[in-house]
Amino acid sequence: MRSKWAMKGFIGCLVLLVGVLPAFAGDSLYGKVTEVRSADTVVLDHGKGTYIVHIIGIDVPKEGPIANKAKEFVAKLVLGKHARMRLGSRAENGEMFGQLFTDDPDIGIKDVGLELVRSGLAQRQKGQDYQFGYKYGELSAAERQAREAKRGLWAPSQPQ
Amino acid sequence: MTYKPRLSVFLQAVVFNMLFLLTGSALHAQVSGGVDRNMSKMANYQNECAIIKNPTNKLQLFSLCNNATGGLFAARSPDGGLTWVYPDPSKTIANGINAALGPAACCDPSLAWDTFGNLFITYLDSAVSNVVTLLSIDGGQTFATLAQFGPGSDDQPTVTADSGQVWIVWNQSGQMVARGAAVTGLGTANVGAFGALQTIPGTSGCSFGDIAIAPDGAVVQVCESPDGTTGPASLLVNTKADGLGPNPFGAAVTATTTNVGGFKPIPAQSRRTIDAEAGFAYDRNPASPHFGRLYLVYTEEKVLGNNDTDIMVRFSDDDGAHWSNPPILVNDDATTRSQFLPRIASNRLSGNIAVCWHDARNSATNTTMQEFCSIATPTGASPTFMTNAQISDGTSDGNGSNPPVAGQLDIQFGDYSGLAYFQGLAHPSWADDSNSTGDNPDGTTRYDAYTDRVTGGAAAHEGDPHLTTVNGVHYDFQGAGEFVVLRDYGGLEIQTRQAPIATTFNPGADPHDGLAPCVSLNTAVAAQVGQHRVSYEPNLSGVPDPSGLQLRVDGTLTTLGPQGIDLGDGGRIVKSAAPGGLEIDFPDETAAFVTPAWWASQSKWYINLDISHTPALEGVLGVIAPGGWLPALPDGTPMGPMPGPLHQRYVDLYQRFADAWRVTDITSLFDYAPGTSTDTFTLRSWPLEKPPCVLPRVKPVEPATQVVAERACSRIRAKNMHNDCIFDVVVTGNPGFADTYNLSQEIQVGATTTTVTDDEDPTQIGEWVTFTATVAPDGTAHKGIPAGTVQFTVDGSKVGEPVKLDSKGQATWETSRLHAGKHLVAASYMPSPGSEFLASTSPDEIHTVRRCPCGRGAGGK
Repeated sequence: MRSKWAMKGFIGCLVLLVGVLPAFAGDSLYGKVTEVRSADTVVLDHGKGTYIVHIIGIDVPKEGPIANKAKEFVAKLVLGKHARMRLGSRAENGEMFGQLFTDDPDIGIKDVGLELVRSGLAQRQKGQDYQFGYKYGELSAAERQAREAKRGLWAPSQPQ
Repeated sequence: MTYKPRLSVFLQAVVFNMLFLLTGSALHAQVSGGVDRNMSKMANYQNECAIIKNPTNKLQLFSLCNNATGGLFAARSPDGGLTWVYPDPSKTIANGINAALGPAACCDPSLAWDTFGNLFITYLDSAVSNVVTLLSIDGGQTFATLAQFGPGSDDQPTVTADSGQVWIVWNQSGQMVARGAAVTGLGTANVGAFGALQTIPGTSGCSFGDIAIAPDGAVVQVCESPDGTTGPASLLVNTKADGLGPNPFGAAVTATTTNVGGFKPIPAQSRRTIDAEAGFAYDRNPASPHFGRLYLVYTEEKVLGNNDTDIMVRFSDDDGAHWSNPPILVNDDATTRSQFLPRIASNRLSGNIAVCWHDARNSATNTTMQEFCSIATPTGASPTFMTNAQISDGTSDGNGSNPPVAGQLDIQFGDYSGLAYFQGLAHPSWADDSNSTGDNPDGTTRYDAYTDRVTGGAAAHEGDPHLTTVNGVHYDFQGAGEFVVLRDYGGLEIQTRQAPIATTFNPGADPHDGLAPCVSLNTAVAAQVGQHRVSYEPNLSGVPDPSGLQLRVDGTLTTLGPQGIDLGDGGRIVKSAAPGGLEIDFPDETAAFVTPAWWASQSKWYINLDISHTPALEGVLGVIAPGGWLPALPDGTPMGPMPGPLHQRYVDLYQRFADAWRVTDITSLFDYAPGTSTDTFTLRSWPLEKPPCVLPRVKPVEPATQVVAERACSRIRAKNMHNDCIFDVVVTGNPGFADTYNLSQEIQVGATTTTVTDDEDPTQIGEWVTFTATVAPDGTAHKGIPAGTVQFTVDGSKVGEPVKLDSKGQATWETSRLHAGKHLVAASYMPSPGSEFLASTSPDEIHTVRRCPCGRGAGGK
């Protein structure tokens, strides 16, 4: 029990530590999303292996209806489809932190993190947008749109 | 006290042998940097810099880097990288604010500058889905959008331009793609429409590439596959042999494998990771023995996972179809630490290649880096890289923004660095958080964009003659006759004439090779400076003439005035700070300082020749390859390791090597009296292997004592020069050698370079223009900033009072009163009293004033 909590704490710290890294400029890795573990964590198969990819710059609820909805939203965008991870950084355990883009002829090219925030299914992370690779306030603008439209997290009454 | 030569010889031989044991023949850096320049001086971080040099104007550079906040950091240098100015007060372009500065950028800048003067700027837009290319026809002052490809799942665009083509390669949905266009001249109207998107075969899952255009027009790309692993991976090369023709890129060829994959973490870049960072450079010099050779630089890790990454070079002589094997190791450290983010560039005028990279060799924890560089000549079957040189003044921390503040980390050093190399100067650019320049607004917590001016070596040909090669090896060369001391494939050549000296003994062996032959002296120098032949030699009549040496340009006896002689293309001759001395500036940035002295008792002139920042690597002052003891022969054949027997060394040095580098009637740059030629000055039997050093009808000079020599040479601080001075004074009995060494020492330490730039050209009558004079140390021996004043001149006449230099070594002069027409503006530097720096005069800056068409009045600011 003690070690389980310790492990959770370690992972939490890891996510906290590296989850704030910006992906401002980076190299892209292309592949197919084979699993959506949560709204901000997917598995990307790049043909020679897989990476666990954490979407940076956003905070999503860990549980509850919004969390489920956000996960469904992401799955609809990328699960089983081609996608692009733009690397921000790599954790010591090999997990990647970066921006995730759709790369699908029907959906087009969308920034999954931005779309989550714009849909009110995630908040922008605390800090300046550029710290997460959004040099022109894109995260703030997307959150403003969601707030003004009272979507998801910003709806007057949250789904139970 | 009675002088006892025999005992003295013994003791001095002991001293010299001890010195040999102490100093050995260690190689010193041939490549050297100046003072680091912080291009950005901006808050937050700038990294992943591209840098490029105008192939038609060696003074103009442009740099572009990622910027943490809006846009791309952009700067240009009008003076060869000494100072940097910005196209916009924000120091950015493509910033989403001013549309004239290009569509808003995300990142990944790439640059190309063609011989028409077109500056191509390619980057990824703010949506990270469009590849944007701007065109600047004024060296990076204004911009026009040339092309925009997308939207697509695009990344890592690279642009290149040459041979009448511009090509952009990038990764689209995991596949390398490219587009090319014809270029026929300067400006948008002369850039044709980009052709259809070329999908490069066999490059699925391949990324982090580069592209190059061959002199014959072939287009070659390289990328790393697979791009998603930590390694191993392959570097795939595809060639489009017909350039802009209808044929597609050919099948992928594996140039090499590497254990450095696309996302390999190393201690110095643990989070961002590195890739092999493959890069191309073509030898574009038609005079080079390997014209058209394609060089490939990349990162390798010999043992997978041990973080001992190295910088490797391979080459192809058939546009990428086949590659040399084994690879050439560029870094020369003996550590198991990381070298990473390499960049390669070729000097199109000489065929020399430069490689610069991040190097953690000095970091015990393998987590910090300095920028290192090396240079190789195209001579020989394969390039031999010089001893590596640390270029950056500071040490940068791979953590960059460590300690993290409110989560503001960064992408460490980024995915690549920059390098431009042209006309003798290489300009690496890198992300630096050492704050070695003291002007990073974030101190050591964020990266600024740094650069430096990387030059070839200082070389010297002094005294009896003691040579210091361009890679810092010190050896004696006592041959008699005329020799090529330095040359390159860019047209530079320097020759010296050495005359035998009759002496009674030799005071000791050369610590380099143990030989103690008779001695000679350098008595004349000649050079090819651009299109002109220059000689500085004693009166051709042969009659001793203490009034001075004779300067000739293209065979015409010339008097050097205070303004010097402009030889065009940046070549010139001016007086040096030494009496009767010359500074010869070559178009490729080489500076040769000729310091003569009159040896009254022998009625002879002798010359010290000191050379700085030369890209030339061949000749008797040429580079000595690792494991060798002498520079290579003219055809690139190495002299090999030093033979064991002393006599064999003598034979190799003074017969095989010396004869190979003798000038001929065809190659001689000297002027001769009627009936004389280079043969007149040639004495193949000299130097005799050991004393007595007798010459027919010449009375040997009387030696001086060690005490006298020590006293005379006490001012000479550098160890080699001090020992040389003592040797020369002892063997010749002439304390005057010490004075000449002292002058050379002052030049090596204190020589300066003054440049003048204008803030606008042309201007109109009545319009204000500001001229800025920048004074910088000429060599690398002095890292300080010159102090004193400069006197501006216009068309040879002084204007205003001398202006005091500021803390950056700069002074400005403004005017609105220049008449219509072309004006030659120059500045002369006068050092502060007591300064080690020496006076210098800038080349002329040509400024044009046009008649005003708009009726504006003169003056008024």
